[in-house]
Amino acid sequence: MTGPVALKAAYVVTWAIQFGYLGYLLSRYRKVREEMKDLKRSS
Amino acid sequence: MSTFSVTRTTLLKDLRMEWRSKDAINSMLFFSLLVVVIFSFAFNPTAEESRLIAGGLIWVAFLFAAVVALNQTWARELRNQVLDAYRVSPAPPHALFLAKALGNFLFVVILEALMAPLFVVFYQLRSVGPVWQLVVVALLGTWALVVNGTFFAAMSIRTRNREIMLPLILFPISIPALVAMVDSTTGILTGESSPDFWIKLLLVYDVVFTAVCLLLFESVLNAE
Amino acid sequence: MKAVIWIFILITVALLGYGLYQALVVAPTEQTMGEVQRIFYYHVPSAWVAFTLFFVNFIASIVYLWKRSAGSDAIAVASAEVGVVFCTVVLITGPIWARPVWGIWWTWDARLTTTLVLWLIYVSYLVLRRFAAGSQTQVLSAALAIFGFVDVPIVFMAIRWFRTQHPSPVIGGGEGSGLDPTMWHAVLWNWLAFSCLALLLVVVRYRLQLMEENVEAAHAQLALQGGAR
Repeated sequence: MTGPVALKAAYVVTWAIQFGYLGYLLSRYRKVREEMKDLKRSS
Repeated sequence: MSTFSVTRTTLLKDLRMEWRSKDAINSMLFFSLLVVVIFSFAFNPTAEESRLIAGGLIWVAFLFAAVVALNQTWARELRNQVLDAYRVSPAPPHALFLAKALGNFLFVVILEALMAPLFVVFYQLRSVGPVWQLVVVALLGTWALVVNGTFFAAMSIRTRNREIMLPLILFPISIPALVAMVDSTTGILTGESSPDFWIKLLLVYDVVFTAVCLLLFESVLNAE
Repeated sequence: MKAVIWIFILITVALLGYGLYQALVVAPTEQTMGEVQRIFYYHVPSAWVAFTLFFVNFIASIVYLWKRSAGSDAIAVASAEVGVVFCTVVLITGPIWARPVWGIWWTWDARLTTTLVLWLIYVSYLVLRRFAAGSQTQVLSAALAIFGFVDVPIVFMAIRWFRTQHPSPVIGGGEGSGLDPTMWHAVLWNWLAFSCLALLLVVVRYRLQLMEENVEAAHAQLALQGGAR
């Protein structure tokens, strides 16, 4: 692995991890919102 | 109901029960023997090499054996609802903890004393450095593992997969103590470095975590 | 309230962009390592942010044991999780940096090893949270969090001594080894940007935790009522 390739890889991986985590949080957020709507409907 | 009397009573009770059944110590002994034998097949060292790797092997073997002992620390209490009785009694919770930790400490130290000759024989071990330093490292290191292990065993019995949870939460936090034990043991055996810093580190580790365990045990005991 | 959050998101994105610009354009190329050294500007600030988050987890756990509030527990789990994410970034960018410079992926370098141990401790915290039973989860994990953070200085000392006993290549050339002032700009701007990102992630995770707890409580209530009927 050469220098410039490694540099790109490191930055890309950092963003992949951060955005991946953010995406994971947002999908859980959506799920909870759905559940809350369901609860409001059924109660 | 002083701390000392409660600790002593509980400790003596545990020792007496263990002496009658010898469950824990037999299983620990056999397990350690198995580990030593299996490692002997994996490595076939010369006397010189064995001094370099023995430190790591010995402590891995003792670590596994300690986990076997720790896992059953609270099993008896759980079976007979002793923990609930303890919660409502006026006895200080840290006395119970101290008794359990001391009991485990005694078991594991006895185990180490029994295993040491086996290691010497199987690996043709002859220490270049003074043996009393090895004893100090063993005592401080064992307490480091046992004090946190007893506490974490009390935590892990409240989880869904208790047997695997104990090593999972114990090992990461024990890493500095393990590094100290292994490196000082290797340094003493090879005579190549002084274990002074490691012994001081183990002392600090022991004092700090004994204090934290005693402070937090009541919260964990009452957690429901 | 919503407006504040959106403004903060915009500021964070702007800072991240500016940090990237500082790291890739403004900072001068390092003499010995070349371009690959710029990984430093992501690697080091991530480590600082992770460490700060673990400290927040420590304080939140103490507060929880004292006050037993859902809020402090939620901050604890949020900061631990985001801390592990930033720690993961450190652990992956480190080897990517080491490989072209030293030809090896891992050298038990002091900073990287300490980060690995921290990662293990806080992952074990997250595992405990997942597998503990119900209401005890919060007390048990708060206790573990305290053990974990108290361990941090001891881990640091142990690994540093181990490394002086058994020297090996130092990834990243040690703390501030001949860092040009313009290089410090890149480090600090990215540190600010990552801190804002971390704050954002923690807030999202915190709110998620409280919402999920409320939903679970509501389900439990329904189950009880359903049984009574």
